[in-house]
Amino acid sequence: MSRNLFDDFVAPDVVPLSAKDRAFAAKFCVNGFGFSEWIGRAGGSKNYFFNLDRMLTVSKPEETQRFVKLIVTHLRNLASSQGLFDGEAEPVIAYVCPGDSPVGSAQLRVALAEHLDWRSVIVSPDKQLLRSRIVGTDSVEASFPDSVRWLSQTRCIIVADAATTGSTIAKAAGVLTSFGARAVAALAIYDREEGARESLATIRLPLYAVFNGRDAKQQNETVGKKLQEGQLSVFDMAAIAAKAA
Amino acid sequence: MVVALPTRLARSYRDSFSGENGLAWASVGKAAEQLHESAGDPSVNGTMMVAVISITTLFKSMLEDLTRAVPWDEKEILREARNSAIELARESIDILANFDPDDIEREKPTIIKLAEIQKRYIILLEQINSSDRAMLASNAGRKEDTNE
Repeated sequence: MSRNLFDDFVAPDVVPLSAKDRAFAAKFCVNGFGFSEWIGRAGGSKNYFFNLDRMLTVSKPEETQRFVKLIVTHLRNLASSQGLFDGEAEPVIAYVCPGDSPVGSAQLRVALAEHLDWRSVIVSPDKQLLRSRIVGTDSVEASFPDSVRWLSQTRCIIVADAATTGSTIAKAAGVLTSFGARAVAALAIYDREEGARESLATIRLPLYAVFNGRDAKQQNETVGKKLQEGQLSVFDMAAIAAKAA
Repeated sequence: MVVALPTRLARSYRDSFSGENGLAWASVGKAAEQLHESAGDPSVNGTMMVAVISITTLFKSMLEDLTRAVPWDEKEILREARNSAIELARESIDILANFDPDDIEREKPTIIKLAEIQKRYIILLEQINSSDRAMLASNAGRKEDTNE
């Protein structure tokens, strides 16, 4: 069991991805998040750029498939965890869609749907209208509130591209509650390890990650080292940063 | 007298927040973006900043709530909400077009008026939300009936 700062909450253990898989995921996402930490250190404006669209389309198809399968593996591990779902009904995946990146979560939803037949919704916590906050229908013809009726009393895994403070994930959990569903766990593709895990522990929502800040830092250090050794030119870096932006 | 950049922008947009709905929304989006960027202009003082933040917050909320990936099937409710919101956007941009950031005493009531416009927008959303909550509640009731 891994303990949080909040002693009364212990996140259930879940079979983790291997260090090799985490390193692959971090490396794969370098194009996707545009060297966020590297750019941050270099004084660029887009400190935390994370472009899921690019992440899923820029790399080679086989690498993309491997990356998607890693997310699927992690989701299956969560669903089979005794401490979370106890082998009960399949969870619902709730993709978080922040206002500034409306397309990425939809794209991830489509990619994962090829491997998982679990039901899913897209949660937009930044929207103020109840009827716009959750998109997910059993039938494309269903209109509100029938389009969300099935969600009541389900148990969900919130999936987010990145977790920083955890506030967006917490808001998404609140939205699910207002529709009668319950967020049981959250999976961030990238946990920046900047307080999300601890803050979500206060609402007893365990956060898991495909890869974390340490994995990303290792990748960025590799890039920095290559740059210093002249294996990557400044032109390469500028091109990569421009693509990410 | 130098006219502050946000005021000049507001004057250029005031006629575009009417007419065909899609074009009006495109203008709201563009105005929100340009006003947000104008906040860093040297011509913007603290008084003007309050007005600019108030308006850009309103416009961004409107765009988020009423245009981006709105899964609404009831076209009439959506049309009415959008029309009301555009009217509020037009009122806001009119205020900014005549705003004098150097006369804070004169503009205090104007700033309150901008806050009131935001409040009217929240009320507009809340009307829709309260009716939706009622529908969801009756929905839950129906589900329990079915389970029995």
